[in-house]
Amino acid sequence: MKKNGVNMEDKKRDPIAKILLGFHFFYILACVVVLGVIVYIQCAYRLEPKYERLFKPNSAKILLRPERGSILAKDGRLLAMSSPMYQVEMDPSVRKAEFAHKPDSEKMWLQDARKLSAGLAKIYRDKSADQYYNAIVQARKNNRKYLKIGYLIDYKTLQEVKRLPLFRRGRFKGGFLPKTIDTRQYPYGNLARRTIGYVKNNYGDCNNAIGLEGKFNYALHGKEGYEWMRLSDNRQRIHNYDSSWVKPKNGYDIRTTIDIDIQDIADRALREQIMTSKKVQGGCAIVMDVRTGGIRAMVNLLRDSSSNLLYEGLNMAIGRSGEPGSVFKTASLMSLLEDGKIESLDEEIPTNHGRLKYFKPDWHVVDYEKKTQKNTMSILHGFEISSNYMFRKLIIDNYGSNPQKFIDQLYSFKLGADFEFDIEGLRSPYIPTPNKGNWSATDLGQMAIGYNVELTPLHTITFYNAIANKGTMQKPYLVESIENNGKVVKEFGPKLLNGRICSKATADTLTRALKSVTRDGTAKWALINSACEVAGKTGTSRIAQGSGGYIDSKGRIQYQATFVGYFPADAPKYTTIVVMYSYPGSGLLYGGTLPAKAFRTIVDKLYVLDPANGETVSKKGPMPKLNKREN
Amino acid sequence: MKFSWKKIWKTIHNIVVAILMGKLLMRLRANRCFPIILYAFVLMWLTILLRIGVEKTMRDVEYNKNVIEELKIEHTNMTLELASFNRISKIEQLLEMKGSTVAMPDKPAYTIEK
Repeated sequence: MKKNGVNMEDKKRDPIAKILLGFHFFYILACVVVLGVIVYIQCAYRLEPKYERLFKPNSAKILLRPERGSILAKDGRLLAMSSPMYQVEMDPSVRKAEFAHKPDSEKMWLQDARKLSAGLAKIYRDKSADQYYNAIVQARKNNRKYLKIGYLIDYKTLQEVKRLPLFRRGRFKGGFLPKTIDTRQYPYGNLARRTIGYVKNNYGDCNNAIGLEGKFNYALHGKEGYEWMRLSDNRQRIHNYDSSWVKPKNGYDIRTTIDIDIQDIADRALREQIMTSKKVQGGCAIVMDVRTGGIRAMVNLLRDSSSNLLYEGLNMAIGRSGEPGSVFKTASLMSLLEDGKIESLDEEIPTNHGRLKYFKPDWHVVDYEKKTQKNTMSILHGFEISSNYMFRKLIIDNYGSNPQKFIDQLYSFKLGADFEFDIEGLRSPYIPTPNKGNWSATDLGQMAIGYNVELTPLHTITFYNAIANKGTMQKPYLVESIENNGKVVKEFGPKLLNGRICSKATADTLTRALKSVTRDGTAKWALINSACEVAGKTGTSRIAQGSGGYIDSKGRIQYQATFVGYFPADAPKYTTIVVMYSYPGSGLLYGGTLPAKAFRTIVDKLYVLDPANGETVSKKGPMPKLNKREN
Repeated sequence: MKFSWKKIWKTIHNIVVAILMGKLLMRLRANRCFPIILYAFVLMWLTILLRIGVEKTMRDVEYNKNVIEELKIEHTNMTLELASFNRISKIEQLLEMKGSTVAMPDKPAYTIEK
């Protein structure tokens, strides 16, 4: 019979059609099963966790560390910089399981380990080849996964280590595991260490670090960022752009006022003089630019009692205040001149055999009387020989009835004033006042010669710098600007502490007095024939030992010797102070000896390095005579 | 059109029968939109291919980042090494080691007038 034009009998008898229909029903059934399994997996099935993690996209949040800003010298040279270094680690247990039943392969691996050890010993030079080999073998025996190799190395050394046997096979066959570690590097070593500061790296809180690293950590540190990383199809980590991410903000650079050449010169000069005498415990030196107050060098050296080596252990330039001694006489003289108490340095004062009520006789005056057969002395000569009698007498005679006036003058010179400084640790100065309960009859006389007051070397040099600058007192500073890739973000620059502490005439008079000290006075022997004329003052004082006065519990006295001045005397460019501290009981240490010699070295070298001090060779004129160098 | 359960049941019945008979696509006249179906598959294939390509590029980007990082580290290390040679005392030491007579000048440099 036919249905719709098709012969049903033919259709029923077609075996191929039946087979195809069978396949068709089988596939329909399979589709239904697959659909059912899909629904089950989506709705009901839960994978075991160890398999589930393989299927889930593995995103990890990575912290992006900022690069710490650099600290630059005045001319842009690097004083401190962040630099990644490498710590090589090794997985000594690599392929151990694989070689468990292959003694020949294990033997070859150990032979390679021996060659590796020889290479490591040659590169690192901290252990012998045998020591390295034993460490590797022992770690392999104990199935340790990590063995630290040597110390931090740079990129160039890492490439050498990478080429060694075993390591050149990589992580999974050689166990080579280099780790990048961010470190802080100081290209000039320990130069200006206390001033620049020290941090190991940019991780964590560096706000408590010393020096500029600590004080300016807020600018140097930068800001962390983060990004999400996910595993790609072939199990490698790639950036996940579907998630938010924050780019890290690198730290700003700090441009300082330090001239690294001057720092090097001052460091060597101080170091040289300290090492010539075993009685010196340590010292400090500061070189300051007259016009701006910028600190070109700050050196702090302390002797290590066991090794006898000098190191930058403590910032004595700002952190150690003490009685300045005779260098304070300049302040006394300035006060007398400003108040019109004396009109000229040539005024003669009666010598009276150096005797003054309440004070010990001044033997300088007695010697002077014997030598000259005179019973008067000029103020200039008294300043030259640093006569205690002269200055006590002048101050007591002129301010005895009103000591507060003298103290007010000292405060107007900013000698008693606190000021903000670019690194932490600046100690406050101290000047006593008659209003306070502990004022005694001898205080005024002691203050006149630099006792009963406390100043740090920084305060002293700031005062002398004002004289060099014709009465304008510049604030000492270390940081010129904060920069971002060479562009100034914040400028600090020179600032005034006091626009006029004294008149230009007073400053000129004081310069005359200071020149006479180096020409004819207590600094004559050290500074004679220096490269240029220096105006300066020596100072020697005993260091107070607490409630015991100037003598410690073992009956010893400790001294502080100072030389401070500026040069060239008539057109000053730099003001410098050198202070040295003796060991207790090691004897007298005069400011006109070692400190003045260190000062002399600094003067000679700085003068020579400045081409502005050289002669000009013009087109017409005599040919300059050059010195013949002896070979 | 009037809503009728009978018609809905008949439609479902026809669909099931067509699936079992293997005639569903023909009944739906899928032959007319076969190019569109093919196009959809081509798009899916291209999407997967591009995604694989993008992932490969991102892996290359990460690899290149590491290479650049290493170069930066090398540059930084070399800069530091160079900076450390810029010290007067170190230069004097190196010159002395080499037996050179070059030293710090005794007097300031002459300035030649223009």
